[in-house]
Amino acid sequence: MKKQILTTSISALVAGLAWQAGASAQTLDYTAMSELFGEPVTAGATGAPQRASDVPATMVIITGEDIRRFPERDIPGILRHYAGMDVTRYGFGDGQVNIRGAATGYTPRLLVLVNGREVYLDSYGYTAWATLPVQLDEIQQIEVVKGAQSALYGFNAVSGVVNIITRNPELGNYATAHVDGGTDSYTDLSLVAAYGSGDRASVRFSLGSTRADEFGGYPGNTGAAGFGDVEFSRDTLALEGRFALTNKVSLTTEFTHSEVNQVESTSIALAAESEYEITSYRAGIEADTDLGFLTVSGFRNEVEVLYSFGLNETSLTAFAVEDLFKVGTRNTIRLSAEYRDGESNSFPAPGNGDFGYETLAASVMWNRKFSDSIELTLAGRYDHVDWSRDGDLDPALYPFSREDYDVTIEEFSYNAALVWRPEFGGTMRFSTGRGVLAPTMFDIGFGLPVTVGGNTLVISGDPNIEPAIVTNYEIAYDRALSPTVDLRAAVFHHETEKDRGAFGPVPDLFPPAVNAPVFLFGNRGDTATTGAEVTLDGNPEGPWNWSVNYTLQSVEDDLSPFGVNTVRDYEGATPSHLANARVGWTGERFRADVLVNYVSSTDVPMQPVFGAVSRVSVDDVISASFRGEYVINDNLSVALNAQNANFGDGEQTNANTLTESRFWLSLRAGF
Amino acid sequence: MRFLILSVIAGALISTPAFAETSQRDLEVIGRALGFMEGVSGSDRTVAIVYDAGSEAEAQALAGAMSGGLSAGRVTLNARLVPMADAGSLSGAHAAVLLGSASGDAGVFSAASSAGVMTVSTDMGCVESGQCVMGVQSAPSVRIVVNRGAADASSVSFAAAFAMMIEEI
Repeated sequence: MKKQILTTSISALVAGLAWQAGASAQTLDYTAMSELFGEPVTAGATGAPQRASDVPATMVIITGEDIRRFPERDIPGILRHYAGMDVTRYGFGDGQVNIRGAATGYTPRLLVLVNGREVYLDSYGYTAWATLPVQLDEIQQIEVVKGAQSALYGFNAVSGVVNIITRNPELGNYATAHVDGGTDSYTDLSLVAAYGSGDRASVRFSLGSTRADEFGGYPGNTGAAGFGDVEFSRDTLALEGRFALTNKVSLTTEFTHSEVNQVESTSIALAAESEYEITSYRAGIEADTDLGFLTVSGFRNEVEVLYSFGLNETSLTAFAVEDLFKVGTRNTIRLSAEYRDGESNSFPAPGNGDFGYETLAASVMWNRKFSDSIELTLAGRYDHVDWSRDGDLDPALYPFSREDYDVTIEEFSYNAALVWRPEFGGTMRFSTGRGVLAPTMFDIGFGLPVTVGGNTLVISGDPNIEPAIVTNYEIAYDRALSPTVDLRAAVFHHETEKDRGAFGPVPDLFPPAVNAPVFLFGNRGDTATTGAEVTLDGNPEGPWNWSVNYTLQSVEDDLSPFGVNTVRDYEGATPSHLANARVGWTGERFRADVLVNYVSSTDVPMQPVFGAVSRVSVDDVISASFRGEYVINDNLSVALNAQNANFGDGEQTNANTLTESRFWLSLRAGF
Repeated sequence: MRFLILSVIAGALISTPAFAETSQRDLEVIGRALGFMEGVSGSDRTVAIVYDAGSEAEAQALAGAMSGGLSAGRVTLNARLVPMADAGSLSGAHAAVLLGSASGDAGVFSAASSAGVMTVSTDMGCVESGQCVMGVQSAPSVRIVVNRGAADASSVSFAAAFAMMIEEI
């Protein structure tokens, strides 16, 4: 996290020109606020705006300036350089981000949002990062909140939340065009622009297109053979309009569309190629009223994914109402209510009836500043979920009737944190949270008969599956060790009870109880991670800056047997040590960055074909990446990027594909 | 004789308020904060500098920093020098930076608040006692404190997001 320096610099002069104070000042003006306080600001930890040093959670805020310096093409690539982020690159576009253990492909534990809209796919339960309709050039900041955050964000925010916030078109016009070309047929085009007409209306436009050769398959994985010949493709479009209806009320509308084809690792460690088509609509009204800061918002995601085992069509419609206000001088309160409706087609086998859920949730957040050195935040949320199926299943295959799917789940989640600024300096945070990892559509409604060796087997979701409960305990300490060196440290204990999902090669139900053997999605046991993270950031006077971080993760599982009932092995798949080092040099015309990333050895599951499960050893991995940029003039710059330069044709980092070095030249024009 | 000098020095040390001069960085923080004040349009802000005899040099330095207009975030600051005795003529200014003994002076606050002018000082004692609407420090880190009672008396209010991020007393 770079220290922002207060200066009457060119940026401040430019900033003063185009803006009118007071117009739509409701939406958090990140740039103006962070320049005022000399540090990033966020509403991502509690829903109320806060300075980064005040937040009651361990948070990473990556600004647009930071993003530009990375020799990375996507967000998981950037995240891996930060403490506590275990990122596994299963394919050119598939980077799964695991925080606080429980490492797996298709991780369901991280909630990902773009401008508050969920882009995490709650059908199968994971985030397909390549489908995010965002270009790196238009990101204002990426906020990562670690630990269980269900009390603010809802189900599935159990290892953390990533919220990607794009630049606000109301705060000034911009246009950036970006063209990349590199090895392995890599081409990337991105066009982002914002334009304001008068003070009342502004528009943001975003277009991105990427093509590249996928990484080659890991030689030991016969199911991944030939993946190197697949072409990764990504096309995304976003259009956003913001309208100041009055001085106190503003309207935002957004439309996005993404199409992606990529290689991935599924949750049962099967390598696969998938095709995505995702469309979204979002609208929100914000009003600064006497009752507080009111937000009414809604979005709809329409998702079509062609998996190797079938076509899934899911829609998610959500509405939320929120009121944020102060009571007296010391209390900030946030009240919110949410309704969600998720639906899926009968999947993968048709004819079993569409199914889905409806959720009603209510949450409260209370933040109290007891003094200028002690602040307490308490948040609680109640979710009520009703599942149902609108058709009957084939009784010859499935052990459940339509009525079995009338299931109700009710859960509480909470977060509590104390932020204390002691006499001896720095900031201490004591926090605990209870998060809920809810069953996904697949967990509940999946239905597919398979034929293996002439025998019919059935893979089925289980409507009786229970949500997994995650509890997080953490103590953190941040301190400026000197005017130029910042320390951020945390120790945590993160437990999951009744972890859900993933079956093994042995069925759960056998004849005569059922007609054909049935593999069930289910609850597979408990896992816990104890660990620590430390980051040191150096920003001395002059052109140099540096950063180092280290993360320790110690995992203990109590899961159903690996290779029999589940392919989950978190002890093996979670690396015990992660480390990063970065050095940057910023001159008048030249910028250079060198980054080193270390991931310690792991034993990961592999399933080249359904039914053949094994463990594969992956050695310690060290990667070195470089970026050098030359600023031609105020508008034009060119950069050379070397990502994982030492990997050559392929380094084994998982059991799906080999991670290859990629080099590319990048030309950027900004106005 | 030496004992007398020592005790005079000691007395002076104890009675001198322990705050540093208002710096240009403090001024930039004040300026940016002004950008979040409600009820004002446009990007120009007039900042009155209220000084006493002992802080005249400090006042001149601040006025010099704002000569030609000082950019701070969304706003441009222009200075108006106001000797403490002329506090009654603060009307028209958006904010009044109080220096020396003007900071914490009830008469100055009364004149400013009735003119709807936001009183601000780098002396935290002023905002704590309610004789200033805002107290500002820019080092070692930015600290902004607003006294709600003083703000109400001066008809000053801030954007909701800003109010949630500062310390209110």
